Amino acid sequence: MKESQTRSILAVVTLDKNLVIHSSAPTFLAKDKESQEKIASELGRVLAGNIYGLANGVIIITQE
Amino acid sequence: MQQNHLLELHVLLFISIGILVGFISRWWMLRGDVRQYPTFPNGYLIHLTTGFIAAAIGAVAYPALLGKNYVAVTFLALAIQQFRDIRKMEKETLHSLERDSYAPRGESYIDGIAKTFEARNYIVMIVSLTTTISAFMIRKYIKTNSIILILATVIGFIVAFLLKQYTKGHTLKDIITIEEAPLKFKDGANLYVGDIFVMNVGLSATRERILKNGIGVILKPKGDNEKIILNHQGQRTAIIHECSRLLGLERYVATRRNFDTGELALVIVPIVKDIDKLKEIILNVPILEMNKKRQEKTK
Repeated sequence: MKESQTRSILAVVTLDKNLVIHSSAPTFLAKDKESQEKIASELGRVLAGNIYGLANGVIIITQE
Repeated sequence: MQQNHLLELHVLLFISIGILVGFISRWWMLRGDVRQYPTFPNGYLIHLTTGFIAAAIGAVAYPALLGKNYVAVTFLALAIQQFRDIRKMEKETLHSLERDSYAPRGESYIDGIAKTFEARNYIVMIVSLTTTISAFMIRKYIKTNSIILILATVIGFIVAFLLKQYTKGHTLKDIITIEEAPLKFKDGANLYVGDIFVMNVGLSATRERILKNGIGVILKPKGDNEKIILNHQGQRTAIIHECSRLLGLERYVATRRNFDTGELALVIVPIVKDIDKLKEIILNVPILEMNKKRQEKTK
């Protein structure tokens, strides 16, 4: 609800490691769409973060 | 001599009628809207009691002055201090509740509510004061106590009614129209209400839940001034709070403004999925006083 608030990326979940270059956040490589979502869901819960999907298929987890 | 003064029947009657009218008008204002805070027995009791005290102070002021008791004016000042404390108390209570609620009320809304409570006590005081004073005034022309009491009561209620009308806030009903809009996802994760982007949702399970249980509406302001009001962050927080408090929140509620048209998109996944109720709730959200002032100035 708070807009214009800077958040940082806590983790990245990707299917194609070429889409993520020099990530400062932990990056997880998943083997298919299903496991990607599963990893993202688990990470999101553990880190209490928000899960966003980018159009290129990469999922990022940010601070709440 | 002082005692003698108090024992006079008409003075006692006039004070009682002042207190009674003030108290009843406080009660009447409490019932104004069940959706507003407070709706619980303890809140009711607190406000009725303070209302009663306000009424008593208002009613006693004039007779005390008649009895050459000028300290009464000091009491009025003291009372005002007390009511200020009530406002502060109300504010603190609401603030401490903020952390626990899923969708917070927001600073502006809390301030508005607290102010209303303070103002209502003043209304009660004014009503009691006018009732008593008018009773004494009428007594100069009519000597029958019962007629005086009836007339004073009527005057008191008229004043209460006028003040209530004057302090009555507007609701969103006056400035917007609501349209139901379909929810859809574009580019996989971007949620749109109609053609307004609202938020990004990463997980497909969540997306399904939103599509299945969510409701999307678009709030259309009627003019430019209304756009300004709707753009206020506090106002939007108030809308979100009311919706999620009354319909329950399964998960996710968000608003987003379309910058070109000034329309506001709202998406909510409520526990009670009832679009008509949602519309009614939104239309009855009060326009925050801060905002209203600005609107009137620009007109």
